[in-house]
Amino acid sequence: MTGLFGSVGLGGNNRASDVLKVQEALKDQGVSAGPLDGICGRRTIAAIERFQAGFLHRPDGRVDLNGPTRRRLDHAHARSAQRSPPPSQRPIGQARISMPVHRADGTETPAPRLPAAAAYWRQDTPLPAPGTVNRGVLSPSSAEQVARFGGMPSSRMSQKDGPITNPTLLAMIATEDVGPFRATGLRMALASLRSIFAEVRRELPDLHPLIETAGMKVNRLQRGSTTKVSNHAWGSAIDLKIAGKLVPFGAPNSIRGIDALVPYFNRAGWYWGGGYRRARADAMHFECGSEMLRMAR
Amino acid sequence: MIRTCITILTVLSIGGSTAVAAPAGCRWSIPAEIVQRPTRWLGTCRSGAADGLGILRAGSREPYDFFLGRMVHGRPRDGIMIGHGTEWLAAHGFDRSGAISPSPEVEASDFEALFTRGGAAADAVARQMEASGNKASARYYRALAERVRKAVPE
Repeated sequence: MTGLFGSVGLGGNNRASDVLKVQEALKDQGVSAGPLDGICGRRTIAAIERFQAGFLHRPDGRVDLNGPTRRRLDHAHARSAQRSPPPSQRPIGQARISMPVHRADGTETPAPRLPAAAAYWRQDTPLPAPGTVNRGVLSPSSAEQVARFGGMPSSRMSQKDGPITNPTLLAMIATEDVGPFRATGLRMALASLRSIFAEVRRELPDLHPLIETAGMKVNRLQRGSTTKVSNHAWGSAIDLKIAGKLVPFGAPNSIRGIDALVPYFNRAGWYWGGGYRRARADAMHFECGSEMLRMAR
Repeated sequence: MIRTCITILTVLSIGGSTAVAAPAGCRWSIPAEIVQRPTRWLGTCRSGAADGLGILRAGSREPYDFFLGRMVHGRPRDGIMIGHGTEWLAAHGFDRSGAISPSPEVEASDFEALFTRGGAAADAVARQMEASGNKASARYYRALAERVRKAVPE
């Protein structure tokens, strides 16, 4: 597989020409990644994982430029006679019909299965190694934002949500449709989200409808602080969940759907909270990076 | 598989101790994401149906599945769910099948309110346990309340 320019797969750069090369290489090894279309969707990621299952203890769905999966793909043709066949496709989920119940007589109905796409994108994943995400993107400090917006969001701030009174900031806040949902935040951030989600809709069509917001603007201080302002107070951060699933603050994991979104956000200048130091890891959280904020109008 | 269970007055086992449960004859719908059985509603019932803030606990041993939130006329309205101890879900509503309804516009304050109510539900259950002399269960639900409050994203 010559001429690969970037990583492919879950959380990869996913340049279309690279994705196509990986899809073709996988197909050559008898691992179907679906249509050879240069789009790194769920089927391509699942195909990488099936291929990796033959040699990795924990498949991560990603082909890195100098990683073991790339090396295996490069040499797979010579090894194909010895390699065991790839595991079969994941089972397809069943549609839901009616809500399970506990009746007054004590009988209960069982839970239905989750649709396949939701089950896939909600799977837990480990947080990435430090330095592998948010490359070239800086998390803005509270002081930096105060300077950018000419003061605090409001004169009195507490741990509870309150109205924004800073006129400079207020003039930049709007409520708009960004694709999978509507959100309230900085206009510039909303425009960026729209652009990100349009790209995601094209490239990961079964993930796009599962993306939900847990909120963008909430004007309060950071938890446990009497001075530091939450990035949400500036309308410059957003929390995302996938088909209802969230990642609790400080949890040592992320989920596939979020991992798949990280490169899109990083490319657009957003910083991902999964890159915070471990005890404060916040995998649901994305915030406008310092460079983005400097351009806010 | 339909499993028969009996809602015996008010006593059931939690972590080796006992807890207050819904009275016999109380019915409730179960969110589709709550997969373990049997389920127990730890909260109030009105007209034979779970109603108000409370906890739906599912399973027969740790890790349980939990729904911490509001029931209205026996149907879940909104809340936080914890599956198998680690899978966290937020529901601002449910569809007819019990699946989480998509929420196309959610304010951060609405989202955080789910956690506040979830923590309050666990606190209320802890108080019930304390009042009925179940100190171990009271501690268990106080710890759960704290865990829910700390889980809110920054």
